[in-house]
Amino acid sequence: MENFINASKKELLKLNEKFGWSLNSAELEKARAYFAGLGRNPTRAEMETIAQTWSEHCKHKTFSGPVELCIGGRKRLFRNLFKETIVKATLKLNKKWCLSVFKDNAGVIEMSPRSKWGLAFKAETHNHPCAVAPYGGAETGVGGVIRDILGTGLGAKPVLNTDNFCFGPFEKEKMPKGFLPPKKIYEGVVEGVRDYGNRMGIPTAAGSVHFDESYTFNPLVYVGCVGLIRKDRIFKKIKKGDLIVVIGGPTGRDGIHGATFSSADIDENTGSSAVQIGHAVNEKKVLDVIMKAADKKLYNALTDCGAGGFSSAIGELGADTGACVDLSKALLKDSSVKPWEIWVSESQERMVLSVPRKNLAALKDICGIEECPICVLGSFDGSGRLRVFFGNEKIIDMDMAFLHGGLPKFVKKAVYKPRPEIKHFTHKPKDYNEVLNRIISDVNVCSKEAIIRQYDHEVQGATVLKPFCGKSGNTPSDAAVIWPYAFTGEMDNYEGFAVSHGFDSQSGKINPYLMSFYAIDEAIRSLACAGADISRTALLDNFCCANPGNPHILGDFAMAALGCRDAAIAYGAPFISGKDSFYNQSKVKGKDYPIALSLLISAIAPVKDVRKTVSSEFKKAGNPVYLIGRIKGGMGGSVYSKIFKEKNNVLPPCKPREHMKDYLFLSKAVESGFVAAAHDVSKGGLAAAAAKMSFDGLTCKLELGGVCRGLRTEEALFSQGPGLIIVEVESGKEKAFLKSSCGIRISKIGFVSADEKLEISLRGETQIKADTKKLLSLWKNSLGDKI
Amino acid sequence: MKIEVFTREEFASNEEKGLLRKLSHFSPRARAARESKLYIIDGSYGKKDFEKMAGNVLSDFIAEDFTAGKPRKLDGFVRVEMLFKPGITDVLAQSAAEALFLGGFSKPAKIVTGRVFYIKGLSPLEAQSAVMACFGNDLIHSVRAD
Repeated sequence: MENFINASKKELLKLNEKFGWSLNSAELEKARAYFAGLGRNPTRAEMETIAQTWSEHCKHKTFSGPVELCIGGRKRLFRNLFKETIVKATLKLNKKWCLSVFKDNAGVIEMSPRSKWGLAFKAETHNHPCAVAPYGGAETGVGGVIRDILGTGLGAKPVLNTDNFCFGPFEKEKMPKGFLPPKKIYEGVVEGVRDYGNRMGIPTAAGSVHFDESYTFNPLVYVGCVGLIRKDRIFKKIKKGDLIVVIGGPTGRDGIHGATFSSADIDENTGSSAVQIGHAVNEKKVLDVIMKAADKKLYNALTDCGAGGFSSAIGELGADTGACVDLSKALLKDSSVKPWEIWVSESQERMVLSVPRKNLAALKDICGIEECPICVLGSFDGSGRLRVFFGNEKIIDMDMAFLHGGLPKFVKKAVYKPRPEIKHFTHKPKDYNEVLNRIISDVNVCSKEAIIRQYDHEVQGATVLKPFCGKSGNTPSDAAVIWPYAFTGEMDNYEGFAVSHGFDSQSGKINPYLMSFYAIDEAIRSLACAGADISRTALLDNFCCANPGNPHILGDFAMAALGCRDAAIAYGAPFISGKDSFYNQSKVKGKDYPIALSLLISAIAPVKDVRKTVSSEFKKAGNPVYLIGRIKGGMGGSVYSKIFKEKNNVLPPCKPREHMKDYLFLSKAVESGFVAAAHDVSKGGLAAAAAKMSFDGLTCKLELGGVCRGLRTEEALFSQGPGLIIVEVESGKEKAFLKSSCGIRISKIGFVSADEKLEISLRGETQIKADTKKLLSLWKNSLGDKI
Repeated sequence: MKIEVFTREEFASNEEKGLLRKLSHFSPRARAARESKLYIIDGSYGKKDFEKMAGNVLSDFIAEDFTAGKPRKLDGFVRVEMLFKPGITDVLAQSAAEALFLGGFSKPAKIVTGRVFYIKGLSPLEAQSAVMACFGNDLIHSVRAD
């Protein structure tokens, strides 16, 4: 690149725009100074490598950088926001069962002290690609997170996929040029997740879907994967002299600039070159090779080729040892691909392995059996430098230390302004039956069957608690429970694990700090309902945010991160991995459209005995029904408020230590066999939760007078505070249940009935008497009618 | 050579329901619809070779039928082809090339895959717009009505 080292600031910015690096002026200046020091201009490949390595996607420079947070005139400086919030909680909790955190492609926890297995868990976002090409974006998102699990430690076996989506309203059909309608994005994303997961033979059994206006131009697509890994294979170590071996699909011009793409807003001119289509069959071959090669201990380390391609993968693996690469040895789709394009191409389904020379022949044999392409690109040579050739032509020669440590840090300003609390109520419902009908058929509450049934959630034969439960398969489950015996081969060992999610961007619009508490509470509560051992819950944080250059957006984000730290400590649940995605913001005709701050909490916990798991549908007429927790006032962030434009925005308080005590009690009660069914009170409130438990033939009659003193009827029925769980107790075990509940806030609120009418009363007055068949029909068909 | 692979008429009703449901978002006037998988294959093969490829490798002989070198015969339908734009990964083409090789054919010089939609009730221009709106993405696809 001629004249780079003598270029002015303006000229550097022009080059930046021309080549799509998404670097800022301080970063460009740092690169200029480095090459000026070497007395030469950089090559195109060197600048592309810097752009990839320093991208938001690879370095998370906003979250891991310094932030000055200003709240009401008081300033606080975080030198590394991520370390002082998310990581701090994990360090403070210091759980022995966290085996690998924040180091590798995924976090790893212990299944149990006596088990030889660990659980690797990771969730990713693929928002920008899905906005422009939903099918390919979603497919490659799933493929990418599966490879993250494959690349954890010395290779984990994927056993569960998760999916969580946020879309704009389907009614929005006419879109500006360059943007796809939400319905079309939905169709492509669901098909992409379905096709990739199903073809890989991995069950997709946990997730959620959320709708909000703010996602109209920027959908969010979170994909996750859980893998099983032997405890003795959690750590990797590259040895000097190891060969750099690539297995998997050939390299093409696919996805050039995928990593730098995530550091920019989307506008009408965003192209599709950053997106490609996945090839699940190729990834399955890679998976099979890795499982066999891991058993034979043929490699010392591995990682996946994700955003940034070889540049990121080899750059990261060789950060300590240095690497010497010859790109002319790469298997190519097309001979016209330029050397720098080979280096940064994001062709999917490739893994990079660090292989001792003596093991290469054995690895090639396995690849031959699995029909998986393999090539050797060079070696980790111990030079401490990154040297890349194409035949005899040297295209990169840089210090690893500069590449990984040279990113300039600058303080970002964040401002948080608390929103005023509105305590008065503006809507007075006339008929609560009608309100329940509206709520149960709202897109954020209704059944997502139209999506979920497209996924194979039972492949591998290990899914104990499926997305829908009950004889008729109509009741939604709180969590997925997996018994991975098919992989472990341990038929007498009934240990498994449960996965759930928490998400509440509506409350985040009012109070981002509390939003984090709500999301964590919901995720842990759902695990407790399934009977998981929640004392060993581990969390993933996946933040999605608009442009952090706006101090108010970064201020909300910082508050949510602080909320994560405080909630994780209070609930005793450490974070083990996570990811952030910024710039989820679109410019349309000069106007910015940012997404609402969104935090997905994914939670995983072991299940001591999967046979004792309970589902959420009512089981037996006459069984008593209890409420765990106390209903609190406030309609903030509720579905009710959104539908009826209720201005009251009070968020019910969250008391983590009390809630956790309740959940631990429930978890033990499930394990002891006292509980027949349990379901958390989440979107739509208590009435909607009771309705959903009634979708399998039995319903309930409830009297809430004793648990909502001083509250309005709509608060009792539809508020969405944390801490609430409806529990059906086995009638013969009620005494034992109560005996074990000392100090727990439980209240008997009714009983299960064989009637077809769900009845909820307050102080003796019936407020809801609803036909459960009608409710089921509304709940099941609302989303289907819109597709 | 263009090869079209499609569901046999006796099994096509579910496929049609799905297509019409999607098309109804664009225009309620679409009355009938069919879809074919399209393979455009270059290589030194004779016509019989192409027919063998279609019959033995690319289609399921129980549920599907094919045409080689000519479009499906569907009276009163507008035919719309949807292909990837140049530079977009075509994984189906990669798999098809491998499958043909494993099926005993020499490796084709080039394969491109796409979808063909047959729609009754819309003009060619409307059908083209409908296919893009309902099934395509103009960032990665190109569509053309015959």
